[in-house]
Amino acid sequence: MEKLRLFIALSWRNLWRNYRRTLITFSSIGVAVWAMIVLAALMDAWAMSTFNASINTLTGHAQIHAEQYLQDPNIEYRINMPDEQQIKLLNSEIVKAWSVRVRVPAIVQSERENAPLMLVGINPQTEKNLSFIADSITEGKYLDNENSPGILLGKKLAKRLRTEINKRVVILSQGPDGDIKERGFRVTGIYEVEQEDTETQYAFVSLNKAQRMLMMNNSISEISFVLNDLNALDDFLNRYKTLNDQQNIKQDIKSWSELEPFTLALLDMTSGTIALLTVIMFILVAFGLVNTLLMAVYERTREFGLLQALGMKPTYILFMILIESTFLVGIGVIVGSILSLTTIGYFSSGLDLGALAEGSTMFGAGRVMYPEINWLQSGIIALFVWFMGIVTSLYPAWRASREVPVETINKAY
Amino acid sequence: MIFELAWRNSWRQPRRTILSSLAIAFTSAFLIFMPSLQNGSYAAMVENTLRLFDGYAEIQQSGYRDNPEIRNSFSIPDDLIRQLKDLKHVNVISQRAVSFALVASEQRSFGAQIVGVQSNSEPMVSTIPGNIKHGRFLSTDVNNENTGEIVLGDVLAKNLKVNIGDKITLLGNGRDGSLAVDSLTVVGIFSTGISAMDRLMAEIPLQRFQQTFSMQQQVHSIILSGEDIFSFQQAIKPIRTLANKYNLVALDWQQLQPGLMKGILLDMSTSLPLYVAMVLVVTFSLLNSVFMSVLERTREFGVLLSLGMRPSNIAKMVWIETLILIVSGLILGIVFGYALTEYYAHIGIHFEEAEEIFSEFGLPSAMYPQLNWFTLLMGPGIIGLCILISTIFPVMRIYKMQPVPAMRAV
Repeated sequence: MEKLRLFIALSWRNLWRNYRRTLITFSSIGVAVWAMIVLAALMDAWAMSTFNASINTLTGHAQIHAEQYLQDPNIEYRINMPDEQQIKLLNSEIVKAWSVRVRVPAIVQSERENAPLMLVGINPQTEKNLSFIADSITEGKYLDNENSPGILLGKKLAKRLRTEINKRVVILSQGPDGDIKERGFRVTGIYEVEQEDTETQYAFVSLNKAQRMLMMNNSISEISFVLNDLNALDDFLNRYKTLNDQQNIKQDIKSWSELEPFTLALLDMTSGTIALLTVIMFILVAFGLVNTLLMAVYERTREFGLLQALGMKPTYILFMILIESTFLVGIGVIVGSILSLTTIGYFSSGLDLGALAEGSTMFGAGRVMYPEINWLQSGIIALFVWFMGIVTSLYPAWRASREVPVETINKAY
Repeated sequence: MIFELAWRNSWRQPRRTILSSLAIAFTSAFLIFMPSLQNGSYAAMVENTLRLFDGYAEIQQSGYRDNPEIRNSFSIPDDLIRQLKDLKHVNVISQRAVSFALVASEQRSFGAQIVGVQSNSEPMVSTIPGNIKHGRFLSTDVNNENTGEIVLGDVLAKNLKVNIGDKITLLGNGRDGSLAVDSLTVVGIFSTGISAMDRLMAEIPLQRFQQTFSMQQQVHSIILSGEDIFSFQQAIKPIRTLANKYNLVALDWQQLQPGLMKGILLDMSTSLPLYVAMVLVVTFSLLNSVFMSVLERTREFGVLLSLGMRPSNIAKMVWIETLILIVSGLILGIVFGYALTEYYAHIGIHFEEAEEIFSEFGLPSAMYPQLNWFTLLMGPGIIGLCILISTIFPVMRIYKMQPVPAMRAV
């Protein structure tokens, strides 16, 4: 213990004997760690933005459909409203929000134009907490209740149809009997979202009006929900499946990762890229580190010889150098981490992509990124650099410990 | 003499010299490979996106882009096509007409975007005809162009529950407001991987379209294409002038796909911090190395100074030592980066698992880095420059040295 204290004091002072070298090394490690953590956080924010955009656009954390609906989103494939026991499960505490929907392909006609879209019948109250619709109305208002007679259109679609608030549009869609059903709706709200595709893809009406128009009684196309904690999803889906099995109900229960494989792949790719960049960055840091430590060792050969002549064991010298590099890398890592956490903290209230936003919405993400401090990930990056830094310094330390006392003391400068 | 001194000094510490050069080489190679990879993927993205449907440029009635209504059509001026054909870099010209309509099979009906195309030139401006998964594309027999053939997206076909040979009915509004009804035979089903297209699009012969939708001889757009987008860009100006002459507008690829350019800029600007950080790290580590080499030779420099060597000559020596490091590192890096990039440009980098992502972004599942002078020299150049600038600090130390105290330094 006493020895350890001595080593620590020795190493610490050694570091500051050449403060310039130490500071430059800190800076280089610091910049590397800073860049890695900030980039990782930005990439995560990017991936999360894509994830949230896709969850928010009707997907939810999971959806329940009739078995063939997903392959063929048609009115033929319907499910019943959730029964008492299913409702009990959906109302349990871990579910943040759930809602039922009718979702069928349809055609919308204005006086001037027509366009294909998905007609979505929603329950305005429960839908509010589940998806983007209620928060995205920019003109007119959201639907009041399950019986509201209005229709909500996306801004881009409204423009294409040359229609506006209070004008009427006609919706055409196939009923369960195969006949085309038709009904007029008054446009009561216009919604605007970042993904322009969404604006032309969906029109929203109240659930009851949709059911009545399509003559589908009380059946629905899907149940969608979000949980408070995404980690509880698998467990919850299993409970739902068990419940269905007990009652012999056949339904297709799919989590977001199955519904949106594209988003899942993007998330996977992001974490892979972060790992790869961390390694590449580290290799670069390692070059500088080995160089610095080797130099530090070489210019001190005389000193090591002297120490050994005075009776210091070679292993102790090795140990001393290792402690030195622990400090050297460690302080760089700590400074870099603090800097990066400050940077991320600074942008956590939202990093507006401004002029580049159109590009980000093309990739399915939002226009504002919210980088978050990911303690685990930042910690792993920091510890990885620290640990690998010490491993890298083994070679110079080993060189130092192998100096032969007499030869090195006599070494002429 | 000074060069010789510097050269020998470099090899007094071979390990340091080699490590420093390797650090430069590694970073340069990375900064050659990554931008080339981005470059290649951007080019592939632009080509794939444009070749899918849009073409390299389009001529439309002004206002059609914001209001793609069936009424915003135009009759093709007699001379326009001939004049377009005479332009350099314009290889293919194809005409289209577009409208939304209800398509109905026996069991189902859906809304779809109906595109009237010239079946002989369409395959050269769009990859949809090449992506036919079942059946064939519209027949190219000119006399037969009036046949009631239709090709549609695989999702649409599945939703309609139709197969090759089945009849489908088309119901829409004609240009004059009349009802447009037609009965067509499915001859082909395409799959592009872009869900909006596979779900919504159907193509029929242009003449049939013009008949059904009461268009007379009018069209909605003239699609232009060429060898590749970069050489084609040179033809944009004359195309614009020509279009304006006939009161039409020409849209280039950035207007056709406004998100694409922004996406590329966004990707560039997100990778920039990484590159900056790498250059900084390698500059710091080289700065360290040069600084050390100066400081550890304080005594030696003191001797040189007292022997009458001028500080500027010592400084020159250190500059040359640094240049030796930089040049050897950069040559190594450029050779390695070039070889690596060319190797992958040849065999491609395959992302089988990420195929879905790539097809959503309009990329093939393999990426080919694209090397040019800019990506080859830009990164290494910046690295060399940054290291050179940072060498000012150690060199300044030399000018501060006084012979006697310097000789006494340990």
